[in-house]
Amino acid sequence: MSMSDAHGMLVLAILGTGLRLAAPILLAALGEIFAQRAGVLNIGIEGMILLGALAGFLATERTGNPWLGLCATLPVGMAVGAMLGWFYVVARSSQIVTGIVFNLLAFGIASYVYRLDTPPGSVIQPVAMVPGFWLGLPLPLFLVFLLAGLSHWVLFRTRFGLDVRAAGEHPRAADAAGLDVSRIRFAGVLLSCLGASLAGGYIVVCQVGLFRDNMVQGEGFTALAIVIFGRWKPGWAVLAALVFGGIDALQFAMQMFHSELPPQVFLALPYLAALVATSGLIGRSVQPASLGIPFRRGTRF
Amino acid sequence: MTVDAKGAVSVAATTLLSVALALLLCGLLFLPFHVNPLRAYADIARYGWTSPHGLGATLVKATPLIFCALATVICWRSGFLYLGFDGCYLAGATGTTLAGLWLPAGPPAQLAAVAAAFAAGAAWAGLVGLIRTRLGGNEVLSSLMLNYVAAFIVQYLVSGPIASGNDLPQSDAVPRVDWLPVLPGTHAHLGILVAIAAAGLVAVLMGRTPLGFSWRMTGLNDRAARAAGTPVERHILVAAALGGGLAGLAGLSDVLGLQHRLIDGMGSGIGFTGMVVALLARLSALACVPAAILYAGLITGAEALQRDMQLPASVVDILESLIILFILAGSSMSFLSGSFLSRSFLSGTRLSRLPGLWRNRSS
Repeated sequence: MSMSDAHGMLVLAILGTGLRLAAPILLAALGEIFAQRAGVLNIGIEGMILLGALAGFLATERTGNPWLGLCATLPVGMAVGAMLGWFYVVARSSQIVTGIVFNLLAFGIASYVYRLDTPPGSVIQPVAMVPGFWLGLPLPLFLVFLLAGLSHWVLFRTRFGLDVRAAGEHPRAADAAGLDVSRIRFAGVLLSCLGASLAGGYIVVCQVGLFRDNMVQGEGFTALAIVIFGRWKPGWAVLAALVFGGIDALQFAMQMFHSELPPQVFLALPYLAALVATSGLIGRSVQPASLGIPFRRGTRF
Repeated sequence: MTVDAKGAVSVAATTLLSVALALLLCGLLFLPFHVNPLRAYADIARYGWTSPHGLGATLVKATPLIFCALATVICWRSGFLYLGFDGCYLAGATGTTLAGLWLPAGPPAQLAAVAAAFAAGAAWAGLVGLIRTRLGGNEVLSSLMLNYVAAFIVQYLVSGPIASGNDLPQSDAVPRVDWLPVLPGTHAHLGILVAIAAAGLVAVLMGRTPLGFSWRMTGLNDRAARAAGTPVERHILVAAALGGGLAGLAGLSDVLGLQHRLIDGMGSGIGFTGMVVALLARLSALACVPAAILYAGLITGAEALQRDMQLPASVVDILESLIILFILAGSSMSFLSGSFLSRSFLSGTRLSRLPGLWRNRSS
């Protein structure tokens, strides 16, 4: 094999790994775009990914079918989404507080159920995983990128998308125009929880094949960074997710070849990139105008 | 009854109801393990607060929690929604360790450790303060990202420049003379007394000084504060630095009081636990002390239960988060909430309407 062939293989390997790493965080980010476009900052997706992973793992473990595992994440996402939506939209609780506390709750539930399912000392069996579909990549990976296109179409070409954007941009005007802002925001929260829950299931049945109560280490927060890096647009979010996944993949390759640089430099790179994206250094963020502000009918604020 | 008294009563009612409901629900979680919930709770209380050894462990755990909770109180009530206290904790722990390893043991190293921990934490949070005030960036997400950066810096330090010789991802221990003295008759160290004193100072600062008034005004309505001539940006920076410094002291108390060295992954998530404690205390500085001791005792007790009876200690996380979620839910129900709900209670603030949340910063 010639040298350039080896380089070509390496580049392909990095691209493949980047794609693999990008898919679940993109999935979570796509849902979060709908929540934030509707005006709700759902920080709870970190915990939602963990619960989705748990649901996907348990269902796959019981049925032996990873596709059923993925499907099992949907009702869990719906249920949690309904609960979070009640806090965000009906009770109008502080979105940051609710999200942070929910993440703690999700961790508690995940590690409780995991301990109940897998008592300490028992042998941990990997579950069945989704087989490779094309170039060794699983079918759900391609569906995620199709879903990004669909999200773009829904958000910018349909009535529902217009309603979502109106609810997040100017809820009072939307309300005056006859829209049910609460219902739209609730739908946004549901979509974000469905996306995050599926992302958790994806990590289990397409990437790891195992569950650990500490397996979600900031994927939800990375998805939040992607939403901002991607300027609240599904198309740009794809690009942002690929950048994050690519840096992550590149760092594996760099660690193999340049051992004189500490690996932590590369590990920190995606987070520094997100920091720059959220810092306002490169242009002011164009966030939805009413993001994070609870809406109450008939008040001026 | 005055409006204030009514508010205090309704807050007490909501809180008690929430705690009772959460205890009831979590009690069910013990049943699959064939343990009587009442006995489990009694054991948690016995291990966590009444046994001398357990109480010592509880106070050691409570110390950094109080510091992180106080930091949360200062930052959040000033309208600076900082979530990066994990990073400040690690910055403080790093500063403390470096001072302890590099300077001659004894008072010089001890003083330098306190200064370094506070300064490192203050700088770490101040960076995000600058991002918000100078660049108009978003502090919520910036601070989350910097938590990871701090963790990687510590990982780098303890696996390279200040790695101990023994292959573990940690530094050498700081000299024993620099450690925080153990309180006579207990297993707790001096840090808990400092933390309680800090809570008193923060309470006075928030409630009784012009600076505290400006902070609260900035947090409640930054546009009104600016119109009234308050230098909002400067106040946010000072709040960020002070809060970050306090969270840095949390790192100091764990290095000099518990671990005695810098360790990869130490204190992971402690900033978020501190926020939860501050929320339980309804963002009141004085209430942070009992809230932290309560929380730390629950963790100590639950860990003992996990050791002895294989009960998952994560039940405590479920319990704490349920309490706050119930309080949030209760605040939204009119029959439980007076119109001045909790604003008057221990000079706390309404959890459901945290001030300064992503307000448009057009001006």
